[in-house]
Amino acid sequence: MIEGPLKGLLPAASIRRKLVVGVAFVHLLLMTFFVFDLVHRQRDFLWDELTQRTLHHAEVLAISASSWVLSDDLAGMEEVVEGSSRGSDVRYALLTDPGGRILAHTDRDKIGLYLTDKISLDAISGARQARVYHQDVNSVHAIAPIIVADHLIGWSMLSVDKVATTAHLAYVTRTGILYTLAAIAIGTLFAVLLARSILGQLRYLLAGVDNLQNNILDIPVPVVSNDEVGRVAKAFNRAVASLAESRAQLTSEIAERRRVESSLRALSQRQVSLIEDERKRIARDLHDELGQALSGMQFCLKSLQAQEGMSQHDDTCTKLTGQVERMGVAIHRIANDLRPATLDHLGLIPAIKAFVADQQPFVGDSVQINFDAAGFKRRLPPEVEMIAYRIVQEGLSNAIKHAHARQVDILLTVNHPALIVTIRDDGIGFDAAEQTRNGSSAFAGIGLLGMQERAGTIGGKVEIKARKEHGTVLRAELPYAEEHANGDAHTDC
Amino acid sequence: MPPLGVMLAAAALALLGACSPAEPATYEPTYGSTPAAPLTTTEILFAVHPLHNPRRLFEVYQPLVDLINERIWPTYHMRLETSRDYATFEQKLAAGKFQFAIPNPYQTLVSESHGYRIIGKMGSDQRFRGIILVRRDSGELPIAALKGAPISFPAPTALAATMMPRMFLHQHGLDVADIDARYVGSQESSIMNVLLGKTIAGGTWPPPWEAFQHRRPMLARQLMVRWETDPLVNNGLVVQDGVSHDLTSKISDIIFHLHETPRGRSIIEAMEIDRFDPASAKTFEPVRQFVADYEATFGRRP
Repeated sequence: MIEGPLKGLLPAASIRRKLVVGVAFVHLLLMTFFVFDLVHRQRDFLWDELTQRTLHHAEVLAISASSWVLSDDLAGMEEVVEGSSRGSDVRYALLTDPGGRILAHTDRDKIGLYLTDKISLDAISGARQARVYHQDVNSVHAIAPIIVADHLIGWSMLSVDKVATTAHLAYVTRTGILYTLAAIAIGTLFAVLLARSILGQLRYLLAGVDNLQNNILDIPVPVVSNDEVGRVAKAFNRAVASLAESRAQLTSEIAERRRVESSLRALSQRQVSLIEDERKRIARDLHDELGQALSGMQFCLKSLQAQEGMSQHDDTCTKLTGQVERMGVAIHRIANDLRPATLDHLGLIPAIKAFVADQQPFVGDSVQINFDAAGFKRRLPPEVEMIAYRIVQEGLSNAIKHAHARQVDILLTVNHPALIVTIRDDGIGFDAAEQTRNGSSAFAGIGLLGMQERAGTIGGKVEIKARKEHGTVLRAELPYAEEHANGDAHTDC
Repeated sequence: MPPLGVMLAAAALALLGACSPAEPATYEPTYGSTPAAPLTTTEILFAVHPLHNPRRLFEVYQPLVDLINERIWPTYHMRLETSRDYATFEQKLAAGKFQFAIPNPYQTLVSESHGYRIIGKMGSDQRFRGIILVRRDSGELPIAALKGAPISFPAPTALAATMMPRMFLHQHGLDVADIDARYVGSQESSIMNVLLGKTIAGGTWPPPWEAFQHRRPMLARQLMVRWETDPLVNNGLVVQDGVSHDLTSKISDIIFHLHETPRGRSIIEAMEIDRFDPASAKTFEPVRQFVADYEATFGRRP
């Protein structure tokens, strides 16, 4: 509730200032109301008390004087009047007969005179009851009838000074203001001390938060109080300690995971390498062993066909020669699939060009395959080239077999320290999000996992962006180390 | 100035404003030597000797004055004036202050020498006797027991309450010197002195004693009438010599016929008499004789 007004009074003020001003303001407000109310109540009470006292005084005077008035005993009346004015703030007291003739007066010179002013005459001609017949800021005037046996035999009139009451009210007001100031001073002092007590701990907490922001978790916040803020500081320390422990554990787990990942990557890399080596060996063996054997067979068949007397076996030899040639071609193709020799000898770009060229006869004119490369200045590390080749091989196969693409664009870009492989097709695409939600094996089907696994062996990654009926974009980022890139330079890369 | 200071100053001003000093005007009544409304009637004073305290006397006799005023208004206005004690009454009587008065029998006789004329008297002379009160717990007190003991009386000239009881005590065995008379100013005071044990006995007469019994029965039960004197002529009605015959006639006519009307009877019943009777100096001859005997015994009053 106080926040609102304080916000207006103290925009962007500190807690200390808000607290001090708030307490002072509350004290001022409450004490002002209190003193204001007190003074008013006191004034009403004193005025009422003075009025009642004056009235009572007049009544007592009337009763006391009745016997003297009945007896027309002026001396007795004078004694009564003097007695009524003794030791009080009575300005004057007088007794009159019903016609306003002064029978007794505190000023003896007035005895025997008549009241002549309208206020007094109205008073003695008014109701036969005690009443305050006039009141001004400095005096109260009361009148009481002197009645015996239901007969009005005179009036007592009395005036009392208000000066003492007014002075008392001024004193009460001054005292009230002093109390207000004292309350504000004490409240403010208390607020300052309270703010110091609370904010001291808060300052430590703020320093702790700064440390936390700076990842300094080994310096606890000093706990200097046992109040709620102190408990917050203790809780903060516990939280920071817990955080430090969790972070240490997490760091350890991350290190372990990295180590494991590194091992897995190494293992995977080694596996891929072994596979590639094995494929390379098989391809070489196919080429060297079976290729030599088939060449020998083909030579023998041609020699046998050229011998005389073997004309009856000419057709047979021709057929065998043809079969051997086809076997040679098949072996060459299988060997090339297992490990394109072009990749090892000429580099990535010629290998991919050759692969694209090899695919063209199978797809005919229905699919247009475009290949482009940029940024190649030297050959990339063999494992990078091999992985890039396999990704292109898999990606192009997917575009042709699954995406039913009519155009496939292959782009290789060297953007040190990574090789970016992009394969974009205009095929049927797919909803990648839906595939992911449904746990579909489409990714597996397109060999994404294999590609990612291969890329992962060198710290790379493969992403696929696809939309249904809007084609597919495969993007692989394959990092490579500079020292590897400084390897064999090859003009054809 | 910061907002706190402004608020503080505003609050202080508000407080001071709430108790702002008074403006200087102060009312004072004014006086003159003549009444605001000139008097058109002649005031005549009627006095009764203090056989009661002033208030009681007023209660008893003001109805008579009211009745008279109804008859003499607007030419005259009668005002009842009481006296707190016998001495004051006698001083006023001697000064000729009253136009009409009801003195006691002794004062009635004295008033003749101060310019008053006896025109009547209260009836019920049998009631005009002195009584001597004692405390009920003092038992059958013999007169001898009063010898040298203080006895309260209203005033030296109170015929029924003082003179007649003193004469009674003297006639029944007490020497003049053995009577320690304490004059206490009024009938009630004489009774109260006995009640409080300040005096062993007190002189009074029936009307104030009966009034006391009526007003303060609990106290009155502590007292009893031990002795009564023989009756004498009741209080007189005198008029100042200067009062016109017509006015005297009119007023005396009212007074002497009170017992003939219900209102009049209620007035005289309050006075504990049955009527007023015309009277003259001769009527009070027994009183004159008693006073002579009294003065012979106790000496003349100074």
